[in-house]
Amino acid sequence: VTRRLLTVAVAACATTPARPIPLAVLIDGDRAAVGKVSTIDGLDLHEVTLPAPQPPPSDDTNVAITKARTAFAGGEFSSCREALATVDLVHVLARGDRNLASRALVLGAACAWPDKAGAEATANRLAGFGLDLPDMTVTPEIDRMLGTAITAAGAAPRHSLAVAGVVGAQLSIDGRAGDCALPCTVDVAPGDHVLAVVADGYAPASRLVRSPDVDHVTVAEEPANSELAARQWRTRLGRGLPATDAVGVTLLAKLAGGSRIAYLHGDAAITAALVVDGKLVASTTAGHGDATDAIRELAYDGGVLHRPSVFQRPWFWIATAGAAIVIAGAIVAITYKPDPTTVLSF
Amino acid sequence: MKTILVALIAVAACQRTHELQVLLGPNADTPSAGFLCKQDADPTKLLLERPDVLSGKTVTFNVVVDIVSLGGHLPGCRGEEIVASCTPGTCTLAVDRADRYCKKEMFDVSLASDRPTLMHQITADLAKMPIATDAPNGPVLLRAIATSQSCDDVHTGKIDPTLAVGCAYSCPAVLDDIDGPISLSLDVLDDQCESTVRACAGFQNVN
Repeated sequence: VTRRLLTVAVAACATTPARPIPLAVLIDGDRAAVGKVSTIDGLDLHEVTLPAPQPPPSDDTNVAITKARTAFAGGEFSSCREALATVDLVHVLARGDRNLASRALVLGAACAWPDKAGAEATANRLAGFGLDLPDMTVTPEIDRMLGTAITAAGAAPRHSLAVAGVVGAQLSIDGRAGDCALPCTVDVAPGDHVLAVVADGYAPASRLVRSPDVDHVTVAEEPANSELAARQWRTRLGRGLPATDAVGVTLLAKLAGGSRIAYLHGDAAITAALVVDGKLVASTTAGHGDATDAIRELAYDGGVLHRPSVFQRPWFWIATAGAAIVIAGAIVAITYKPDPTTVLSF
Repeated sequence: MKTILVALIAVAACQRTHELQVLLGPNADTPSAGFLCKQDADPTKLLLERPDVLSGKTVTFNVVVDIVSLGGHLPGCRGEEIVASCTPGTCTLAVDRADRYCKKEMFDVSLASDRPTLMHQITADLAKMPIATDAPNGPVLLRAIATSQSCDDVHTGKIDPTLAVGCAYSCPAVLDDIDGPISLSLDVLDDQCESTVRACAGFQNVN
C-alpha cells in the first residue's frame, strides 16, 4: 500500500508536459511478472506487439526442377527448358541453396541439347559459381562437359572484386555463407556470381555480377520495415544475443515505428530499457509487477519526463515530517509531565 | 516511526497515581495540639470532654476534612499569611459541601491514656474512605475538624465553629508536587486554645 501511495504521490508531484509524449511499450518474457501497465501522466503509452513468426515463403523451385527432370527423362527438352525458365537462380543462390542451384544448372545443360553451345554456357556457369555436381546423372556427354567446365574454371585466374554496402553486412558469394563483412574484397573465378548481403536492420539484398567485367560493386540494402525489424530482433534473441545492445536497440526503434520505445522483459524481476531515436538512453530493473514504476523511472532517467524536484518528492516530505515528529517527540518526552492523580487519605 | 509514535502516545496517555497520607498530628502516634485544647470554661477538661461529645465512657464526634483552594496563591504556613492570602475572598472549598469528607468516630474514654493506640485506631478507621481521589492541582491547604455537628449538617450547611472540639490544618501546598505525609497542626502556644479551634473551624472564607 505504501509503495502505491508513494507512486501516486510521485506522479502527482511531477511536472507533466502540456501534451502527452507518445511512448511505445514492448513487453516480452513472463507477462505476469511484468504486470499491468497503468496510465502515466505526461506519457501516451501504447503497447506494440511483435508479429507472429511467419512460415517461410512458398518456393516452387523444387517443383520446377522435379518437373524439368521428368520432362528430361521423357525426352521433352522443350518442356524441361520451360520448367527451368521459372527458376530464379539468383534467388536460389542468394538464400544459400547451392545444391538446388546445381541441380537446376545440370538439368539446364542437359535440356539445352542439341544446343551444344547453350549447354556449354550453362556448364560454365555452374563451374563459375563453384557449385558441386549434384547426386544426379544426366548423360555421359553432359557429365563430361560439366567436368571439363569445372576443371577449366578451377584453372582460370581469379579476379578481385571489391564489394561495398552497409558496413558490417555479411556477404555471401554464390550461396557460400560468411565470406566476409562489408566492405571487403574477394577473389572470384571468371563468370557470373551472385552477391548476397544481410544485415540486421536492413532488408536482405542480392545482385548478379560478372567477373572480370566489374571489379567493384555496391550492394545496396533498404532499411528494414517494422515487421522485418521485429523478425530480426526476435531472431537475435533466439540466438542468445542481448535485446538491447547497439543492434538490438536499432531494431527496437524500427519495430516501434516511433522515436521512443520502452522495452520490458519479465522474469524474476523486470528488466527495462528506454530507446529514444535509436539510442539506449536509460535502463533499470524493477520488482515483480511494477511495470508502471519501471516505465516512469525510465522516462525520468531518459529525460522524457522531468523528475520532480527534491521538495516535490514524497520522500523529502516523509523524511522531513519524520524528523519533525522525532524532534517534537523528544521535546515532549523531555518537558512533558503528566498530570498526576493525587489520592489523599489518612 | 510507528514505534516512536506509539511511545509518544503512551507517554502522553500515562497517568501517574500519587498517594499522599494525611496525619492528624506531627506523626502517626501523636495528635495535633489542635485536638487537645482545653475548655475555656473549665481549663481542666479537654474540648473532647464536652458533654456533646462525651457520653458516659464513649467519645463520639465527626471528623470533617476540607481541601481549601487558595486561589492560585501559595502563602506561608502562618495563620496570618493564610488569612492575608484569603482576604480577597479567593479561598474556597475545592469540593462541594455535599462531597466533603465527614466520618463519625467514637472511642472508649479508657483509650485516652494510650494515645498511640488511640491514634492508630482512629486513623485506621478514617482511612477506610479517601479524602479525595483526585485532589486539585493547585495551592491548597487541608483542614481537619473534630466536631459534634452531624455529617448531614456538614453536607448541607456551614461548619458551626461552636461545635468544634478540635481543629488543625496543613501548610499551603500543591499536592501534586509534594511527597510524603502531610501533617496537620494548629499554631498555638499552650493548651488553652478553644478560641483558636473555633477560629480554625470557622475560617470565614471557606465554610
